Amino acid sequence: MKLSKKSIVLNTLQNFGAVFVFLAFINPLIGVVLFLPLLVIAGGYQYLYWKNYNFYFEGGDLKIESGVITKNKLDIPVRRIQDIDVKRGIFQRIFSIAQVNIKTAGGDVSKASLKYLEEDQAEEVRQELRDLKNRREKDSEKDQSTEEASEPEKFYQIGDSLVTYSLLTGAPRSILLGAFFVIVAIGVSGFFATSAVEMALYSTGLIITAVILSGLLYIAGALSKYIQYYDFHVDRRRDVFEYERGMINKEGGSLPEEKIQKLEVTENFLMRYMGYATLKAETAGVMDKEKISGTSTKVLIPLDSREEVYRHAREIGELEIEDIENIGPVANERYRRRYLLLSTVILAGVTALTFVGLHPGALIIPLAGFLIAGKASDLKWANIGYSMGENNLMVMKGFWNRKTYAVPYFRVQNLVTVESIFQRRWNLATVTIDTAGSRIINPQIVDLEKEQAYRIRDQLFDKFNDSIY
Amino acid sequence: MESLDKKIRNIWIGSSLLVGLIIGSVLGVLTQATLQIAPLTALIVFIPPALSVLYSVKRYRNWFFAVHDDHLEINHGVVRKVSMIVPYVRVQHIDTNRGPLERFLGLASLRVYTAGSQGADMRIPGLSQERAEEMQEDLKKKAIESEQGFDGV
Repeated sequence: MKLSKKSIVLNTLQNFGAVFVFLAFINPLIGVVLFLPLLVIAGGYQYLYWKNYNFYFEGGDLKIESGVITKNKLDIPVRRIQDIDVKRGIFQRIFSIAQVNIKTAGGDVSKASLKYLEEDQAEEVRQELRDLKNRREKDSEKDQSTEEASEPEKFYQIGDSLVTYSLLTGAPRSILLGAFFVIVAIGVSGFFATSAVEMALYSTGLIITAVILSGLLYIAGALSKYIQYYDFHVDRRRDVFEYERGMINKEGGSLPEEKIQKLEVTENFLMRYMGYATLKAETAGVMDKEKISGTSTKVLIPLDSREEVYRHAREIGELEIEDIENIGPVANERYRRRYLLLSTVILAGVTALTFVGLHPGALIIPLAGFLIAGKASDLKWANIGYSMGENNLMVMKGFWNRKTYAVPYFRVQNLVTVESIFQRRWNLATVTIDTAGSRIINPQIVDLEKEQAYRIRDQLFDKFNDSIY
Repeated sequence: MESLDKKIRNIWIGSSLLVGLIIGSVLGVLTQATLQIAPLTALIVFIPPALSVLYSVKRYRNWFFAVHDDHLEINHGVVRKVSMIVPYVRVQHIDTNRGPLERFLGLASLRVYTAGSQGADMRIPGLSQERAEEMQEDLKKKAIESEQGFDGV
């Protein structure tokens, strides 16, 4: 199969558009004169690139041949494909073409990026991958009717939840940012105020400004989420999830259920209060080698009631969702001490600054710290937990943005127990459950009592062994 | 549980002693120039190398690993204690590495790779060359035996 001919035009413009704008900006005439031959060369190269680019499915493999001067031949076994991205930016949508990224574990995605396919061609590639997978399964287990199974089944449609999702998802960050602005506002007022009245006046004014500013940022963030998740829908074709979202740029993809490494339920504190949750799935697919944050985490359900999200999670991974157990109370004490210590340090700093002109009114910041330290540590502690079920581990962490991971035992890659220097004073340890993928942050059961940490680690390893043999 | 080759302890002690002595002398010169109290200077020159030797001895003592039936266990760390379990099923590949100094002393380090993202840390330094090669073979065999059609992901 060939790429769309339109990609010659679009790739040329994408590579040289900026050069043209730059030249035209310096001198329109020279710009055009210089640009035209450049355009011809670049266009010629893109034409050759297109001519030399060829991809096809053969015997369960996707083969991609490319290269004008150096020839590349890429061979990807279809069963090793983790997931697929289908991206259509605004320009691609005008041309009705799509970029298809094929992701393997540990692979370099730029090599398996089909730029660009006609929209119906992209659909064909997705279909081919579905079929190949199904055919393989049919061979191995003499499966039933593939035809009716390939009919899509509605899994999720965002509908009216879009507004709620957009408003809720960015709220904790905005509140934290707002709190930071307020602290800065009080600090700044303290530097300029010479009397209590001035202090009150300045800080009120600046706090209002801070609140308005973070409010505006919050609205901007919510709007961007709204545009990103506009018309989000997921279909399920047999065991492949296919999703698409976006108002201006369309982002979609295919995610085979069997490639899911772990599920993630995210509930920030507002969502928890209102009984909502988000469901995400992660594969071992590598997005971008360079970016550490590059992880193939896909949102399956942006917003639904907690019960619905857990029901789906249970269904997808055949996971049991058990009651989460808290970590030992020593950790709570550790957090309380940490916050008190932090408040003391800030108190000392602020007090020192009052001698060089800072208004004592600013002392309200560390004093508030002392007041909320106990409550803050309770909340932090209460939102950390784990549970070991029959087939999977659940790990929960975070107050502002609580994440609960469900990791099937057979996905474990290795287990790491760490006692940091700060933990050792309290006889605590953290267990990290490493799964395949490019993700740096792995599920962790933090601040367990040391003996328990090693016991849990050994239990996890036993369960892993049971699951795999 | 198996310890590392004794030679690596001496390398660690030697190299940290060197760094400790440099830091100690710099601090000593500074102390002498500002405070001019000879006993204090002597003490300050002495502390960093002493600490670094202590650290290296402790580092060697805390480093041990075990080749179990179904997994590799690695323990190390002085300030931050780390304990790792690597199931053989998950091993993608194993390599041994020998720098110039290691080659001179007949040492090698072994690195085990899995598809997990923390895998970069799974390195056993300071093995005798024979032991490293033997382990590489052994682990490779164990990884293949345990595989049974899994792709390790």
